[in-house]
Amino acid sequence: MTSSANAFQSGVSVRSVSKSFGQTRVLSDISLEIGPREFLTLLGPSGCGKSTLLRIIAGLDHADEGSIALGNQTVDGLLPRERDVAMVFQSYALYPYMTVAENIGLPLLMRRTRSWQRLPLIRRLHPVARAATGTIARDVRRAAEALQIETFLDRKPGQLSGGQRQRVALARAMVRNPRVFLMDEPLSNLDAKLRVAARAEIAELHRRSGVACIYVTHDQVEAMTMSDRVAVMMGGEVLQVAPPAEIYDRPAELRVAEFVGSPKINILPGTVRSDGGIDVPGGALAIQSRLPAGTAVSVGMRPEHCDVAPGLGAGGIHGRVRHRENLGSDLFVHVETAGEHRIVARSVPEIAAAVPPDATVTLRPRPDRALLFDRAGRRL
Amino acid sequence: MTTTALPLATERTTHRSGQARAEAIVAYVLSAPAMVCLLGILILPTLATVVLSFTDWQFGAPTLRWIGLDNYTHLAADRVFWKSLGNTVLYVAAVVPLSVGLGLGVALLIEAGTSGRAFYRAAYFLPVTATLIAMATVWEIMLHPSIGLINVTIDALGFPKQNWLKNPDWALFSLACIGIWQALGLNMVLLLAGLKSIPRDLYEAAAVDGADGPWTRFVTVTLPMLGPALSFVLIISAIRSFQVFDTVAVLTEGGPNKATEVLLYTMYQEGFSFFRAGYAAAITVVFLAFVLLLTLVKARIAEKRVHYS
Repeated sequence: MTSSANAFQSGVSVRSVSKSFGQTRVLSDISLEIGPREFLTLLGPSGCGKSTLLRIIAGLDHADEGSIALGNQTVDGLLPRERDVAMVFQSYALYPYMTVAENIGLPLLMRRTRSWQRLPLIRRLHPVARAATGTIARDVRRAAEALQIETFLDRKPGQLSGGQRQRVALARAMVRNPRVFLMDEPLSNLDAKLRVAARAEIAELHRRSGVACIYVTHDQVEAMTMSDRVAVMMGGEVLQVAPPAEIYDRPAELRVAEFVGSPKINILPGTVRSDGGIDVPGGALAIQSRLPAGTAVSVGMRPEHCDVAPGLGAGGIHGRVRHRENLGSDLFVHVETAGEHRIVARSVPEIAAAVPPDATVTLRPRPDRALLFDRAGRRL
Repeated sequence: MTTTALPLATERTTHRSGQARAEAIVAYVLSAPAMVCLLGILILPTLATVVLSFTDWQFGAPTLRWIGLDNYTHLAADRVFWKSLGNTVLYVAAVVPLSVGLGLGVALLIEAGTSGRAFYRAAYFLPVTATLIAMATVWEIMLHPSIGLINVTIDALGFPKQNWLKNPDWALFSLACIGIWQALGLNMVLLLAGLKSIPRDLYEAAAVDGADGPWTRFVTVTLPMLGPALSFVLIISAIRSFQVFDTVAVLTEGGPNKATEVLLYTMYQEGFSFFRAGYAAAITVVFLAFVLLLTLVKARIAEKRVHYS
């Protein structure tokens, strides 16, 4: 058990953590600072090392190098229990033979009673054990009410739906006041509709608890909607740590820009002209890049920052419509430019009739929103 | 049969009942070989045994007479039968908990270790693959009162030698030890499979929740998750040790002084030494009743067990 005062002081520090499994290096020199009440998401494709990092913070895996601190305490070498973390697993990891109430209450039972006090008969008779049983039941009910699962307390996990199980897993984490919540893709087993509801709910629960939360996901929507900051990981490295809007608008690297955003950002090869503008296949961008003439760059344009107009207009990038996707609210126009480069532009469904397949169109990227990357993929 | 998919579909909708009947016939035809086997080698012999137990048939005799419950009343008054039943129950009571308990212990140790797993698995499993009759002979030499390895060792340690198989106080105990040695390997392998099927996540959740001591982890996660495997192992161990016969036949022949007389051995003697087939059939029926009881217990446990999906 921890006092709740403790929870307000502690954040998480990850200091130069490296980890290899055999010859495979899964984490290289990761450093992160997570604030005391912050919601930080580790976002990356599968195999990027994000779950391993979470497990190292939890104490379920050990770093080869580097160290982890929770609050002011270095916790390397401490057992998960001693680190006082709460974790939600992707599989939920509920104990199938226990009722919901027993599942939620287990972390409390383990911390508030001694091993011999949990023996069947003593648990009923010993005054300390009995008192603990009472307070645990109360705390379990409170946690269950917060997640609206109080009517399922006597059921077994096997009798619950996926969404209900996920709530039980959350309740088991939230029943205590841990130093940090660790969540390993907790929504990936839910259907799309439940996921949207659960996103808002987890964010809300986190705000109420006031405890730091590290959330692992490969789903950029979860990362963008729930987090205070997002750490984008790839190939065992952290590429960028920033608030969601900054990750989206000012990605540090081409790889970040490509991973975040749906549909994917459009990337065109470009060459800087002497007037600062940039030549791209099918046209040019009217921007002032201030780069030396002849520099080869990659130009990134988000679909919503490209206007589409029918016909061959002056300036802009010319191309031919290959495909249209009407989502009702938006129309995505897939345009092929010179050199078979594909650009997706977001527009309004009203222009659908004006840009039929094979029509010639002019794309006008908003110059202030174009992102330039150098050969190595760093943003210029 | 039609060759294209479309006519087949229309046929299905128009002749649904005909289709269902055809399917049923195919099903019966396909399962017929299994049914015939089941009848021929299991159900009919069992029924024959039950019928025989109500007769005075002698093995090889051309005639038999219906004698009703005579065999059973005779059994109830037969001291050898009661001794034999008592010995069998004692043997089961010793072999089941110890072979399962030790099997679980070995399985846990192998699962916890990192090196030599395959070796230990094979070493403990070896008795299961070996012919028990041959192994019994090896045990007979090991247990030999003067030159046996066990007595030589005991003597060297300064304890009194025992005539393990000829002393009425030790004979059943010795057979039970051989039984445990033999059953342990199979129990271990089954429990190892059970242990392997426990999701690692559960152990990790338990570690985070604070259930991380070896004992706490065992009672919180391992034992409940092993429940189905454990109940299965318990029941098949019970049934198998109920069937103890080979070691008795090879090593003690029920002696000394009926100290190792067990149910199947009594049945065998009555049927094939004394040729009282009717009486042996009655013993077999009692034996079957016990096995059936154990099977019902197993079915009940299997019914109760909660599945996790």
